[in-house]
Amino acid sequence: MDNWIHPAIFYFLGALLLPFIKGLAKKIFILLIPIASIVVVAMSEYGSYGAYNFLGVQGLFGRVDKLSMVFAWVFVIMAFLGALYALHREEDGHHIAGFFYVGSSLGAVFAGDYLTLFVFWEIMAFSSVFLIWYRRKQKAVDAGFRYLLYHVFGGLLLFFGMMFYYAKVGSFAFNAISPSQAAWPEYLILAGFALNAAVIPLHTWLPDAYPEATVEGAVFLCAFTTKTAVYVLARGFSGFEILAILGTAMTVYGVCYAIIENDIRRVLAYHIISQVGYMVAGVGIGTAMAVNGACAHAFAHILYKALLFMGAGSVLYMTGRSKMTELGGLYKYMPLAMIGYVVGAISISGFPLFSGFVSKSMIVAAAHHEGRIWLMLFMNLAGIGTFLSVGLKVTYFTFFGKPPANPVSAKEPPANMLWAMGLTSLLCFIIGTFPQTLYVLLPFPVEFRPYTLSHLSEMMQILAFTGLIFYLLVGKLSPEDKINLDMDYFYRQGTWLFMKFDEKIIAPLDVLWGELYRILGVRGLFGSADLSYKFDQKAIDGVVDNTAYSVVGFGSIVKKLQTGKVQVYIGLSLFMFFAILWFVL
Amino acid sequence: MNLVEVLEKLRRETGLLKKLFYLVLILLILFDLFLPRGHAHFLVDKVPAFWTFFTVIGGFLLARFSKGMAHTILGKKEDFYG
Amino acid sequence: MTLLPEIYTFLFSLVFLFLSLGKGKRPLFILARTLAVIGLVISFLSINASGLLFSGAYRVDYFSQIFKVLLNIGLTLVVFMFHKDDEVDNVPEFYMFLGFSTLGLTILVSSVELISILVSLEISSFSLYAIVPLRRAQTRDHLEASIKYLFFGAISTGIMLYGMGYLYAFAHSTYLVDIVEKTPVFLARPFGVLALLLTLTAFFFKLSLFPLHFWAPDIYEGASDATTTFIATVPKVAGAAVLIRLTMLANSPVSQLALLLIVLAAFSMTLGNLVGLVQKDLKRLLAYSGIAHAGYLMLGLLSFNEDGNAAVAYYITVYLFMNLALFYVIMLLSRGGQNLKISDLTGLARKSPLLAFTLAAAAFSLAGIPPTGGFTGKFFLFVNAFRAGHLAIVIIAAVNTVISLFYYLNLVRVSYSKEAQGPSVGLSFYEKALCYLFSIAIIILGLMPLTFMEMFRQAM
Repeated sequence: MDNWIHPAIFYFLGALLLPFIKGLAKKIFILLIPIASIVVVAMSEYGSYGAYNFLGVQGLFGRVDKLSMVFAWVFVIMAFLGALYALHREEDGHHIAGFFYVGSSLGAVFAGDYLTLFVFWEIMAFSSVFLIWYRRKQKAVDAGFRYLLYHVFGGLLLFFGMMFYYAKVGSFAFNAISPSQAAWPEYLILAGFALNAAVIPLHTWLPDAYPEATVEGAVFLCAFTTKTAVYVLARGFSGFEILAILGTAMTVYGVCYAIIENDIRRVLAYHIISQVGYMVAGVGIGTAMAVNGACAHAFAHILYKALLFMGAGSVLYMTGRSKMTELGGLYKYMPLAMIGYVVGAISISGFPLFSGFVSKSMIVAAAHHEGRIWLMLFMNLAGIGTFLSVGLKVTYFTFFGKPPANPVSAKEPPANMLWAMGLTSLLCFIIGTFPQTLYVLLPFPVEFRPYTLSHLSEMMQILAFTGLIFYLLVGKLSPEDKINLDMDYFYRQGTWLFMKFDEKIIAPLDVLWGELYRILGVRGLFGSADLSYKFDQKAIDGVVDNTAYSVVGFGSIVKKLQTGKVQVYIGLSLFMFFAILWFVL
Repeated sequence: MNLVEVLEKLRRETGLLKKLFYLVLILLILFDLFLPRGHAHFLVDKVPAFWTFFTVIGGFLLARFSKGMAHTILGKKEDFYG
Repeated sequence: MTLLPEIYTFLFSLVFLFLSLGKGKRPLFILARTLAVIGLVISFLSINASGLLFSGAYRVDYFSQIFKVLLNIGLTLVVFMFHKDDEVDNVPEFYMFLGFSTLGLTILVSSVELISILVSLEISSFSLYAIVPLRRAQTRDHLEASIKYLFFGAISTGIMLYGMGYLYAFAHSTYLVDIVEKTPVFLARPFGVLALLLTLTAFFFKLSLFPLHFWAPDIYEGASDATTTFIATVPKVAGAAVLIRLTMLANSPVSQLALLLIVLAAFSMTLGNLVGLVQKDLKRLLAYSGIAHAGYLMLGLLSFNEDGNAAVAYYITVYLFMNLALFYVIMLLSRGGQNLKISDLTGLARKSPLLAFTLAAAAFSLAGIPPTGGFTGKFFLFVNAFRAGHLAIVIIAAVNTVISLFYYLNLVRVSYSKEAQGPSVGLSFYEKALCYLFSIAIIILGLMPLTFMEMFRQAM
């Protein structure tokens, strides 16, 4: 390898070394690793590094170009903020899982071929599930299990997609695929990617699992999995019309659920679907401006969504509650955490001077520019829902609103959490106020100007009148202590039916099969042994008693019977074997 | 005066806040009416204060639709999946 | 000394034969471990031995020596997994039979003549028949299982002999070399395929491939953990070796034989996984998992070339380690000798994080998740079947992988779920080391397959 160090190495080595470091040194170590990776990313030069040959397959560990660097940048920054936020966590395992998760995401982003990508893809799924399992509640364990099943299923889609793709084009190289040449291998890959991007109808793992993750784990989770998926979609599948449509559908679908959910983190989780929808739609529109917008939005989104999860997490951490029906009036106890959350909320809603304003609008403007007015309208509709749910509803019912019947008296979260939130807030503000800091990183030259009068007017109308709607409908929007069914209802029902079928039909068939052998075989054995015993007695008696022919004749009949039977038994027990044989030949 | 006191003071002044809020809304509409529309290609650019109408109607429908779904087919008890 | 590993394994068994004549019971595990390690070293030392003995009936070559090493690794690890209060320890006969069985398998992988294949297979099988009923908590069902095993083992041998008879009739020789020469002629006829297939039957039985799988769940459940561990791993290695040797008789792809293997593989995978899905007993579940894996193995044989065979060898190596790892977890958890239910794993992560990790590594590997060996092995198998143009079976295998995920991951889920009930599991340094060894081996096989693959390909 030349002069490039893969930033993921720090995380993998760090994860392995972590158990051997104790005390304060450990805390410093946990922060140093992301810092080291930030330095390495800052020093990276474009190029291809770490090519290798694996059984005749050309692999590439480090494809460093503009597109991968945007994501690498935000990943390492987020890794630092996440590590800072999780610093108080004592279990090594949690930090190790986090490091593996971040490292494998970086590995996936820099991967230049499908094979490398796939391996990191799977490590991502398996390391992240521990961030859910460390919650140590039965619900979390179950949700994590479902999460894992979904992701391994998605991984298999990707795996078989890439195998067939290899058979088709003879290479594992991971490059842009033209929509006109895409056939089912490409669509299999696309489906695998889409599952990680939580594209409906493959999205149900996200709102299922993220709210059950640990407080610190959710901050990591919300950043990496979906955004890695956005990266690979941008890399391979830009310009696919289906993504533009599904992405826009996601934006609205996500906010509809965000409006009705009760658990704060589930609201945020559904809202990830909505936000990733913008990015997917941007990738689907496929123009330079739209792809730029998708990358910029991914960058900005990682930060403010993490900030929101940090805010919600600190509420959960300090009060042990995350349902809005059990919260209220927290502004008195944790104003700093509230400010953090509110900065995230106004960033995500696209307030001027905050990061959502300069990133989301880029995708909306790209749709507008391309004449995709319906897409644009739905995206703006989702924007309304965003402010309504994440911005106003959660803020109001958690931090203001009526305190619950059994009020909580919480304190501010630990200093490291507050620092992480403060730094993230600052970044949201910097990006929103000085958008050039973000725009220089984008893969294509940026001509978009966010701060124009008409755009300001558009956004301010949307925000202000959403506020009016909320004010008028606040009674109708109050949270309810219920869960809402999603498409996973069908998946769960399907699984349940399948298990019933398996249990009631297939498993007994196998038992029957074993019984068949038992009856034909073991009984046959004993039966024939019995017969031959009798034969021995009779035949020998016969000889001794000298009752010659008649008895010998009888004996030979028995003998025939006996040998015949053994053959029949064995023959029958092999019936299946020959049946297949006959069928085939 | 710390942050919590500021917030509590503001919460007592809801009447004033409400008036300010309405004023902002009116100003926003006026602002949009006088915006130059040189590059308008599509309906959304041509109609003055389009986003006001869009937000009020869209936001209302979105909120009522979502809540309606939650109250009819989607909403279930916490232990629905067991 | 080309026959050193065989002679040593024989001596190994003799030592325990003499010990069994003496009176009094004493722990034997230290002696067994020492002797097994020496055997392993010897098999490694003679890895480059070669020669043709006994008028060409017995071939010592790289292929056979590699499998001998694998067999010895298997035996050694199995012996290392027992502890001193294990029910089979201080029964010298147990070690003796393990030794004889391994001896049979060792001879088997070197045999290139039908009669010696038969004889060595029988040496191995008879020893196993003898140790299956060795169990403290024996029930009627367990006993019946061992009878079943014996009886159907004998029948499958009979069928193999029948097939061998045909082969002899075609080739007028029992030497594989001679048979290879005649294969293009007789494989063109359906009866030739039949002959080869019948000959393979006994090895299908050893690998518990459908429709000869039925013994596995009962035996796994009925035999003691120690015996099951051996039966589930070591004979399968030799079974795979001989399957490779025998399908290599076909030289070039034979469509009927391939189709047959595909059908058997498809049934085996599907049935194994579907039934595995509803199992409650851990060892029974592993039996069905083994049935499914026998199906996966067939995928490598389909390509009828060195690459495919190397993939089979690689996968069986991985299989050896991941199964041993899982069985070791089972053995450590069920010290009383009772069968473990899946629900008994509840809270394992709290009781013993290391055991939970070992279990997770093994289960992930069985499910075929990177970066474990199970993934890499499956990858090779699938790629080879794919290259040979067998798309349908690859898709069936893919679907099966999805189904199997459910129960493998469920093991991990259960072990990470809920509060621990009961005391934490204390592990000695030695037991920890073995757990680490298994986990590391599984991951190394996944990450660095090239050296091994190269080795196997040379051997083919």
